[in-house]
Amino acid sequence: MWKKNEPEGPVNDTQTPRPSAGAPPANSESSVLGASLVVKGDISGTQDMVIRGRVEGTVSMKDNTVTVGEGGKVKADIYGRTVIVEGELRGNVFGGEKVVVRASGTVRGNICSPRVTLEDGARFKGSIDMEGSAKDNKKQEQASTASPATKNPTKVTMQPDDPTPVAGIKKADKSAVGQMRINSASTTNT
Amino acid sequence: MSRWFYSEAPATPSAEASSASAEPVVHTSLALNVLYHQIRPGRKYHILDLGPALGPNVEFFSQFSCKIYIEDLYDSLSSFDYLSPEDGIPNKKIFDYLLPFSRATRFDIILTWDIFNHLEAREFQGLMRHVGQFCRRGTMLFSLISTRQHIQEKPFHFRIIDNHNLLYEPQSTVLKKCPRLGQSDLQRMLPYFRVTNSFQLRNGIREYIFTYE
Repeated sequence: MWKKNEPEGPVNDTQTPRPSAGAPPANSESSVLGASLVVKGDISGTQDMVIRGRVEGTVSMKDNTVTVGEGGKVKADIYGRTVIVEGELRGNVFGGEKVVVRASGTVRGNICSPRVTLEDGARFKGSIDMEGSAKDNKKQEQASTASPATKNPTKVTMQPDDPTPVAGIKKADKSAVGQMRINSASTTNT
Repeated sequence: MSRWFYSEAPATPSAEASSASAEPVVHTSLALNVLYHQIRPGRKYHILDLGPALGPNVEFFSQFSCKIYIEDLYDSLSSFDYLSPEDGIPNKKIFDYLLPFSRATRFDIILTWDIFNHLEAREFQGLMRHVGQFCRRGTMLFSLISTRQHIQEKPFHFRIIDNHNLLYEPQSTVLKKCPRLGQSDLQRMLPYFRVTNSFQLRNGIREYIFTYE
């Protein structure tokens, strides 16, 4: 007597989900350099790239995303719009938009990008040049009142800390007293 | 085997030692606040960070136009144990190798955090002789010196929460004797620098800002 409601007729095409805003262009399919591959030389192109093998030389995908995967070992300079490091990189990184070093990533070299994120656990030695980030951050501050945060939520305790100034030295400001819990969301600038 | 760090056998537990904890704790930083207010917008700063790479610290300085050199000196020295002054290698060459900067580099801010608590005198002098080459008049050096009897065996990780709060993350619960460097000791080790700010905190840390002259 009671029929299960079943759709009749073809599915309405207007209900098909649209690609999200900011989706990569149609010709930007990711290419993957497999874990067993070793490339010595210059790699360039106009598509996203994930490196899981070994590369020595230069990687240039200036308008795309370059990812050094977890097992990847790269000894090269990398140029990308976004560069993500999850493996090992010895070289310089030039990120047109941003550079992210994940918790599993190790970078020995210099990073030049307006936005740089180092996740907790990321290992890095070198310089980070963020010229241009000051303007971006000012705009972000005007748009939101989010405060700096760490990647992993950390429960900490703030001890009553009432600094006693030494005679003849600048007077200390009054400090906050009491419990303070810091539960942080992920880092910004991504 | 080389001994790069001021290190002795773990101390006998005492009342002070028994209070050592592995929990991170937030403390007010008055010197950081002074440093923050010294930074002028619209100018590019070159910052030498001798501590480890920490995301929040990079993020904090990203609000200014700057170039940060992150060198994690403790990590570099502790993995450098195949060469030591006993091998006859002069300090200068060692620091030239560990902290290679171009001749034209000049730092505006040097963050030493608490590394001075963990260096022997010759290491301290060697470091500052090297770093001094890359300073200019007005370079500010930020340092946290422990005044306690014992300190953790390894330097803390200091995360900048905001311009007047630091999160102290201990990296060891093992304690060692603290050198308790006084201002006169520091002045001797830091030629051409003078103390411009000093704050004694109740947590036993004395914060300094030195300025290069």
